[in-house]
Amino acid sequence: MSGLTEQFKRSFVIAEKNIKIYYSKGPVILFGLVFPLFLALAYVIGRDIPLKEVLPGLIGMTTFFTATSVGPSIVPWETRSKTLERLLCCPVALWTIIVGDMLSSFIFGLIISVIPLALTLFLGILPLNFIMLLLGLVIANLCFAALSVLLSAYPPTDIPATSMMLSSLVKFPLVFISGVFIPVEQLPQWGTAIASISPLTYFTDMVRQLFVNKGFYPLVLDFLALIAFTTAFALAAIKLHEKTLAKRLS
Amino acid sequence: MKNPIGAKQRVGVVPEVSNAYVDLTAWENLALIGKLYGVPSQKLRENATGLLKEFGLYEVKDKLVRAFSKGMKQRLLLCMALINDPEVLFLDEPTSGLDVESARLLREKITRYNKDGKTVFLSTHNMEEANQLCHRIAIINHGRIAAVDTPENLRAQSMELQYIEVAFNKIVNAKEFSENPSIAKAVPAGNKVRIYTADPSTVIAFLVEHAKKNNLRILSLNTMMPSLEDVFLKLIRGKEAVVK
Repeated sequence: MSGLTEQFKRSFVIAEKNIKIYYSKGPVILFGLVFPLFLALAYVIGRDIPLKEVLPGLIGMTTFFTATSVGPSIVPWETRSKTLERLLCCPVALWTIIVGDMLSSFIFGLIISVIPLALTLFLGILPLNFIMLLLGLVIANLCFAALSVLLSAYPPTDIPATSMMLSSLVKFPLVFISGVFIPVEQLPQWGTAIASISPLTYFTDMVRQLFVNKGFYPLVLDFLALIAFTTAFALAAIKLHEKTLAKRLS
Repeated sequence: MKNPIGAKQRVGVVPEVSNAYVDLTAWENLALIGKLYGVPSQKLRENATGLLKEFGLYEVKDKLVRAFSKGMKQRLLLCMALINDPEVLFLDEPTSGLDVESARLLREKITRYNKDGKTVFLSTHNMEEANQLCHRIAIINHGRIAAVDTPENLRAQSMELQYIEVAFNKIVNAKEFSENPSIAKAVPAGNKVRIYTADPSTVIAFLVEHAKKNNLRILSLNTMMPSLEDVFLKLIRGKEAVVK
């Protein structure tokens, strides 16, 4: 048990290192800050909908893009600079490194996603349950961070741009099927079926319920679905990285 | 391996490629590795300061590694490998591509750490370095250990590879010596003749006699022990490859 605690501590050390190195990298700023900002502006400007109605999609989209911006690039970057080998020479398990990468992606997402939330509060738009919203934000960021690290596992490339591009191929369709632009309850039956496979759907639905008291799924289901997706993504990320490690280092 | 984490905890590694984090400072690199080894913070500060001073990097501890020369990076890698005071140190081509001064410094430090009781595994293609630094040498061929012994014993196992280099005042044909039963092979080597033999004293007597008989004057005559390079080649490719 103490070994497990020690490994978790070392995950935080790895996260601290990632924060120092990767938060200021160009692709992270582009995909994590510039891109969601312009997407949010394009989403809000010129739409004749009350801000309160727009907010769930806006918060969902920015949280999703920021929390998934760091994860896909770390492992390819470290493979290329041979620092992954350096880390693996240290007394840390591969899962310790993967959890560290998730944590750094999570912290980045959490910091940035607080900005639209603070803006909302500043404009006097209050959620029905603030604590619940914060809890949802934490779980959603964890979920998206785990997804982002999973996306860096395959193919085992050492080119960060390749990993970023492939992760975008997954991220963009997810945004379009997740009730960000059209609430899930307004989608046709086949649309709701597709929406149910995206974790972002449950977060957007949760935020909608907490701001406008309208939602498709029960709030508890939104939380449970996000927790289930987080667990599945995290375990899959660790397993897939373990499986591709030898090829990655060869 | 039953406990890879526990095993790695007792080991320090200097890889062949320079893989310190170039976007971190020397101090941050040491702190990162120290924390990953679970070194307590006070001890980590002491170890890091001591090592950076010892390896002449203390003045640049707050500079990004990106700005370091290859020699400085290699010294930093050794500091990183030693930050947890390991019992066993693995070094992969530690002096490869380094300037003479840095290479000599690293060799001195490796020798000292070994004298201090650390076990050092040195992987190198530099036979002279292996000869200078190692108590025991393992020659690896295609991932398998072909031989393990002290440098002296390895050479002793290959005494048929010792040779005599002789220079006469006139150019002689090396083939003249090949018929002597004590001579395994005679080959020209510049203005000299290199004669491989397991019995140098008999061959030297023969060469002196040969010079008298043919009115030649011996300008130089040296008996050479097989080098580790010869031993290596013999083990990898067979005796013929060396003598050739």
